[in-house]
Amino acid sequence: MFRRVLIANRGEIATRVASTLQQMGIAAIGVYSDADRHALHVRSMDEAYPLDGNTASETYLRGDKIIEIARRHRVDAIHPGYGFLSENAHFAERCADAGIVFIGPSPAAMRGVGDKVAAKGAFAAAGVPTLPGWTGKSTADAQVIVDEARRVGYPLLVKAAAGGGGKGMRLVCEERELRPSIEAASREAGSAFGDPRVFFERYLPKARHVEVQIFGDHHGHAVYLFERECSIQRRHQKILEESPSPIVDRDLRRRMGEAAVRAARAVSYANAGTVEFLVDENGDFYFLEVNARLQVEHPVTELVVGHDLVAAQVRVAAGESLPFTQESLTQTGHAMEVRICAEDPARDFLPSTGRIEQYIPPTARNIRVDSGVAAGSEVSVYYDSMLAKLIVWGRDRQESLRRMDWALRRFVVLGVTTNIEFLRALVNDPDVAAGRMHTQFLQEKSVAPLAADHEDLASAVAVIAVQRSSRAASDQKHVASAVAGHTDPWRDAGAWRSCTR
Amino acid sequence: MKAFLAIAGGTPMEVELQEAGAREPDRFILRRGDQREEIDVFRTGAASGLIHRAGRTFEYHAVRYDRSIRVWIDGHIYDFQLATPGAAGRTVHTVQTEDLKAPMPGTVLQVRVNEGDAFTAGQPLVIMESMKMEMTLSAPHPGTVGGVLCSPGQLVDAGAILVRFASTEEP
Repeated sequence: MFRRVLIANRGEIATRVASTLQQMGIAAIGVYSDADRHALHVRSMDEAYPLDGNTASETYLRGDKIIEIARRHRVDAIHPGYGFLSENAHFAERCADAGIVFIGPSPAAMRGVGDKVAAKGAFAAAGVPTLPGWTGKSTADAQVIVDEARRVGYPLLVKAAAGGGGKGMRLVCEERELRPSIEAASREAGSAFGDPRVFFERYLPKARHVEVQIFGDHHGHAVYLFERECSIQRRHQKILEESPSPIVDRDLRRRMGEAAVRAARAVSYANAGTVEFLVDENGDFYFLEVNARLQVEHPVTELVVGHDLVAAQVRVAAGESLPFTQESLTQTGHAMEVRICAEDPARDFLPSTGRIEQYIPPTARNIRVDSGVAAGSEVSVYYDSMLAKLIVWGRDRQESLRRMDWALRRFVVLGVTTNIEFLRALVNDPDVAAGRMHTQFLQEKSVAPLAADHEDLASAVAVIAVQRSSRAASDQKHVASAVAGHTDPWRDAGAWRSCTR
Repeated sequence: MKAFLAIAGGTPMEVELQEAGAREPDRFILRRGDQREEIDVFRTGAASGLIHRAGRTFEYHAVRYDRSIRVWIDGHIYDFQLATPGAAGRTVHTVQTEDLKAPMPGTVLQVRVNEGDAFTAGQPLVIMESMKMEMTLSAPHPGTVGGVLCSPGQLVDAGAILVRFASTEEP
């Protein structure tokens, strides 16, 4: 087993991975940018070393700096977390060249699933259902493309072959938009990924996003750890994730799981990965893409299967067999996750930066908070806005929803604006409670904020706060004009509504 | 006894602190229209505490910024702007029971009264400048100037007494 593992990441995932490593008796070695010098993840490590600079491209994306630190400090393996270098096959190769194990799939498997056109072809050949579409290599023959689009049917979605995160993606509703959309998507893909190839496939407007956690090892084992539904999204970012999915029954679960394992085997996938599917209103499912890494939402699976996925990643990377078999895995109860982000729902989810003055996560049985911040942390402009993940487990979905509401109501974050109240309104939404969700949910529907009943008490607290700080400033017993006018951003903004474009 | 005016949801509310001395909790009286309610506030930290109201206890947390206050109670965030007396746009009333104090750090521009002068409620007493904004500090109630403790051009801290009142009448 490894003795020293470097975590090439920051925030909650770096802290979460460190905790598992340390509990396995492995030293956790961290890296940090200038802005993160006092970050929570740095103090969670056994040792941490600086990556000079602030932007991601100066720091957490600098594979060369990270490998140099790993060498100098005698690291056996690197855990990439998610994002940053986690799906960078070239980085994985350079780790191998330096004699360091990359905790993740092989570079060949990463490349196999990273090219969406190639992956779609390989998985279709392995019997994984895919959406009807066109994956032609050339956009030169305009008539061929138009004919193909007619065959597929509108609306259709143009995507980048090397894509991700919504870049190089265009929704095409009618024929006259086809050519300009393909050209625009291709330009965007070229500049974002250095690869202008695009393809298109049928667009499913009311589809649900259901993904399957897969795990393979170097001994030929591959299993699925059931599904997660992540249909509630905003601009392709997942907001609420759960397992099991309210629409997946035992038969669909088995069929999706087996399809995902066939996909894993098609590329000899060893380590944790996720096969994403869309499920339409008829319960038919179609392959979307593979994420060749640990997902943000992996704790949802951990809570229903009772296994630590990071520990399993480390064991598999060290050459051990998978610590579970398909027959030994069970999905018990229901788990749900929300992402606590520093963003302002009243201002179209604009990121909020600043110092976290108060941070009090909820604590109770069956509530897990994976935090990337603590009181006193600075939320900077350099990295994404996720502060923490709140995950709950319940015996069933209704218990999870009630527990999530309870936990969100007690989660105190002051200093930056967060989406906590929005999330609480979301889990109280009647459609969410009934499991009526699809990927366009937040585009089509506004979520009504919950009533805030204690304005008068808040006014008194505001007065106390003024009085207290003024007393401290002047050492006087009495204070003069403390006048507070209440502003209500939620009311001003009306109901929360995601931007529709 | 100290009283403050807060505007919550567009409705003015008077918040009056009963003199507590060293005793905890502090008792506040909230008046809104003809409604009157007493609440007890027990402080648990510099910006946190408990409010006892009619059998329920609420935890609160607050953060004070330069010109605003954000309060957390029972899962909701409430934002308050500190009103600048005399600032354009919003009409606010300062409720004050003794002495005129600087509401924020700044420079005294003008002092419009002298010791012994009688003044009426709302009469401008001192003009201050802070963060490039001019503020008129007006008398909260009628009274007589007991002493002027500032002069034009002087830099003052928040809470500094600018004008001492000889007699205090309850608003």
